[in-house]
Amino acid sequence: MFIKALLVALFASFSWACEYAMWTVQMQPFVAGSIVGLILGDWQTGVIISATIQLIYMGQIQVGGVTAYDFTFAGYIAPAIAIVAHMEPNVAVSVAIAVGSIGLVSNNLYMSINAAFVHMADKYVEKGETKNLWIYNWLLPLFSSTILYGIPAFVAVYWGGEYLETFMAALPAWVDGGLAVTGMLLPALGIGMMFRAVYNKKFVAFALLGYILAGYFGLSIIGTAMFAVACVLIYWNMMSSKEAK
Amino acid sequence: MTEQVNKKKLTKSDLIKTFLLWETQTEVCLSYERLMSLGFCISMSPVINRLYDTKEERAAAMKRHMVFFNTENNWGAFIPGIVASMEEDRANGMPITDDLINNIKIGLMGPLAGVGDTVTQGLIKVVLLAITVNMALDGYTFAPILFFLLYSAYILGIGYFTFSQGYKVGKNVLDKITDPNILHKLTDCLGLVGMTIAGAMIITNVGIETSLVIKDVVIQDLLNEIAPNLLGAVATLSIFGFLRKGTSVWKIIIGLFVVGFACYFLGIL
Repeated sequence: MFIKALLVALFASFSWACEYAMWTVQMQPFVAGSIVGLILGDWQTGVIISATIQLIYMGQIQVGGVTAYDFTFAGYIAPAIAIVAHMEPNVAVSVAIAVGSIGLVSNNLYMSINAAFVHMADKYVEKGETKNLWIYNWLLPLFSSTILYGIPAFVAVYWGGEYLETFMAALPAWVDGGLAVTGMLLPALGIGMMFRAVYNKKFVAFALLGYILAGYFGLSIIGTAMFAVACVLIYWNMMSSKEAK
Repeated sequence: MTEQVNKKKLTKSDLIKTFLLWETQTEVCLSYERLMSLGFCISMSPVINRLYDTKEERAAAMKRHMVFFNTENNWGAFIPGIVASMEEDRANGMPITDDLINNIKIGLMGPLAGVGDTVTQGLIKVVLLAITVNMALDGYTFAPILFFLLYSAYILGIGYFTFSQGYKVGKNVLDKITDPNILHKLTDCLGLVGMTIAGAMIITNVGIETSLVIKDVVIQDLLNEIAPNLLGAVATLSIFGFLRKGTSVWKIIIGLFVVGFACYFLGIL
């Protein structure tokens, strides 16, 4: 467990430093949580739990580095906790929300401390060299993210599993039950936020069509997407011929 | 044009290095004070090293790019592209001032972030996630890998395209990308797909079922007669209504916890 906890901690520490991964992994609990599952030796559970967590963050748009949750806590640490404590996906979702908001402390500290590194870089650029600039841009932030993300991740995995499992078992049934019901409601928030992201008054009918196709005809998401693409082609042609007139 | 011989030119590898630095370094040292400033400066370093020889010129160029900067990485890759071509012109003696470069950066970062955030995070990401997350929940465990590959292809593809367009055609192309007509049509089309999928996801991803039985009538069966996943649809649309009214996500989450526990105690859900 020590090695596994260390690897999860390392992975969480690098969540900012691998910036390309930040777009494809860090901000998507779906990918990050699956990798955490792989590290903990259970890819399958990792995939299911992180897919469930991802549903709440579906329509989340991060603008200018401002976010309502910390993605590393919600996407790396929460799935790790859920896997080591053998939680049901529904309960894991509630945990992810809680852990993700606690993580905002780390997020704020990280971005505040970075300001100091930028000031150090200000002095360095006076020299007219670019060679050591990466120290301020990459290495020093990596140190702070190791402390702000790596250590909490290690603690959560190494001591969290055993402790949390007994803790969860000792909880009265209503806590677990209430968390599970809330976990059932939370995906509605994710889809609600997705609606806010894509909402366009003109296309309300298409939302209804999607609902009907999936609900009554049992079409999968891929099937619905293909239907939507067909509609786009028709729409595009209609708009183009309108312009031509 | 005797100076033509000594004309300073960025090589293909300088540009690729700049693009890769841009993709991998700009948001690592994100700070509240200046956001992507240091990241922009570091991604310009291959350009600066190629074009300027003296220590003073290099220091001046680096300081020029240490100012406040923030945009969306993929559509915003246009900006390091156009700035690289401006620095090249400047090094060749064209009258391009610090102010001009800075104004271009500031003028472009907002609109491109607007387009980028909407298209990348609001539409492309949402559609790709909608498909792959559902595959995962159906038991196809390679789905996260599929998402990673598709999203990577989009990010690197769009990023490299906008970056090289920025370098090649300079300002003219922006009129084309942000041509309100084309952009409007494009956003419309993506919005249409997004809305259809969002409607379908009420069915596939929100599963709220009641276990309530009143006088031998199973309430869930009754609801199913009316519409599939009625409770899920009602919950999703009311949350969407609150979001539209500007209720903070926080309040909604707390509300959901309250409703969740209340429903558990009352035995409704």
